[in-house]
Amino acid sequence: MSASAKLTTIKICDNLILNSPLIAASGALGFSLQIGDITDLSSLGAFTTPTLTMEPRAGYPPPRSSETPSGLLISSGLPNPGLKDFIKFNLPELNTLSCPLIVNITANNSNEWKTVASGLAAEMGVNALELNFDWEAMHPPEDGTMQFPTSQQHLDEIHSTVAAVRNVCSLPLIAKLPSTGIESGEAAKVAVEAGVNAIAVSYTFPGIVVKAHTRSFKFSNVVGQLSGPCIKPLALYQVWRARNSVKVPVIASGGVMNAEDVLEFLIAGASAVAVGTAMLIHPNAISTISDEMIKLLEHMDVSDIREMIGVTN
Amino acid sequence: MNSSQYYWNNTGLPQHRRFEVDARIITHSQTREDAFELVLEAPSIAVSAKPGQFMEILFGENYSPLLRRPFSIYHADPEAGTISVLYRRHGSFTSGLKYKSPGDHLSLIGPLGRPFHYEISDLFKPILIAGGIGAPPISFLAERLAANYRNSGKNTREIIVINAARTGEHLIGISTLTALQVALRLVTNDGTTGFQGTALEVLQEVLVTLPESAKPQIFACGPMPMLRSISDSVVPLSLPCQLSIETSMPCGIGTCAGCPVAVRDTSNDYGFRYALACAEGPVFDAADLIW
Repeated sequence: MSASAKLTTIKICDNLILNSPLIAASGALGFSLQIGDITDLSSLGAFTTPTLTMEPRAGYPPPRSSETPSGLLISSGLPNPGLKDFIKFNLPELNTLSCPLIVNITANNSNEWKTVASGLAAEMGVNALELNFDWEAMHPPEDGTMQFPTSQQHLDEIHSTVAAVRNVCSLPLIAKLPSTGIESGEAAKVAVEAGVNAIAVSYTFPGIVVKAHTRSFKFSNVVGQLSGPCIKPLALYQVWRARNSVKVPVIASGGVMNAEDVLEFLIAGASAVAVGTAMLIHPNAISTISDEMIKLLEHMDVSDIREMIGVTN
Repeated sequence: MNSSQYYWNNTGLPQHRRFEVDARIITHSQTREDAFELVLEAPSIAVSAKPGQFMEILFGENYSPLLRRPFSIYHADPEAGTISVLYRRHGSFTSGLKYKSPGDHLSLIGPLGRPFHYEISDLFKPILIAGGIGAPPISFLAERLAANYRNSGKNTREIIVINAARTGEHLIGISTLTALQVALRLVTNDGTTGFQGTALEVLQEVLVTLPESAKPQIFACGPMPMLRSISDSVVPLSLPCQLSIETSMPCGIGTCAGCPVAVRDTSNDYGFRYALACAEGPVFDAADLIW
């Protein structure tokens, strides 16, 4: 029996039961299973794709990455194959997974959201949609100019989008909330009110890299997205805020590197934990962390991790 | 348009098994002024590693630095089950490596990326060019070519290797290349060692001396300006030329999309797409690259 089989399944909603609380975060494993030679795919509680859009996106020109103490900044522009090619080329391969497949999507307007959501809902093997509500993801900068909405605009767009997507698709919906610009608890309430089944926090955090010697910004789009262990306390805060604002399950992410980190997120209120940056360093991190967790739980004399969720002494 | 079709379809990617290995350091020695060779025990990687491929090395588990760094494979010994990298100390990662001693372990992922490709024939005339720290993969290629030449009774002196650097202290891998008995040409920009000039000047000189029937194939690794000058010179002549690109690669395993390289693609309106250096490279055909 594989180690991950010993970790309990997690029910997010009636139609979405995770094989284990540890899932591959959006972007952790790419759009294919090519990683299967160095990742034990059977250990995944679920597989989340990188963000998919209606039309393909080429992504930003190089450089796209920068390392910072305990963190990684990526300014990628969310390169992806677009809905049509994803269904044709990537989905058949992803359908061979033994765990649920969560497709992370974003769009620029209501019609695009509906097209992508209904297009995926019509296919076999898509088990849930994760809606990426980061403003830059939804509204990529045109001519290099980023847009910054007011909090109310952003909340309104989350509400209307969830309602529109819910209207055209019966798949479980997870709202991946932005990390800045709107208050996480407030945003979670709005998303749940409009009909999502779960909340995912946190998104990566916007950051910039300045090159002092050339008096310039490193990324062509100026802004990069920060992930890694340095964001863990910020992510724990967002999980705690969401947990205390809504009743639906919260899926956590943000700098999870080991079993102890996973427990911290569970105690802060997460029902499941997504692993992202750690998978870029150790592509088999979820399997390793699962093994660690089993030992740790035994040591802590916890028989069912679900009893830890959102509970502090 | 699908600007990334090649990558997303995955059909065109090199398919080879990769391994994450907790490798023991066998030896860690200074080879020249500033260059160090790290020999690691990694039988699974050593068996299949090809010249031009790389490994991602993790410094440690305390997130400092957080990410792995790519290192070209310098030597692979399938029988001994060892693999080595050659590096110079600059920056925090390579400076920190000095604290790693034989017996310590380093986490490796490899072999990674697309290797140099070649088919040896009677007319095949390899010209290898190493610039500075670009020497390790070129040395590995020279070693494999020389072994093939010796096995088939060909003269290893027919393999031309141009090893170039800014100054003599930065020329690395000379003793290994000398031992291979290839036709080695040393070049430094300041003339401290070998010919004073550039790798390109030596390449051009070599090309004019070749018989017309020869089919030169160029393999190069080094700083981007050097690679570009070579490409600008030989691509218009339709000479086959493969370049190993050095770029930052956060994951090295094709998932983070952090190492794009613009390559020609006539199947879309833009005429180019972004290939990932870690998956479709680091070796590219010079004619495909957009500078």
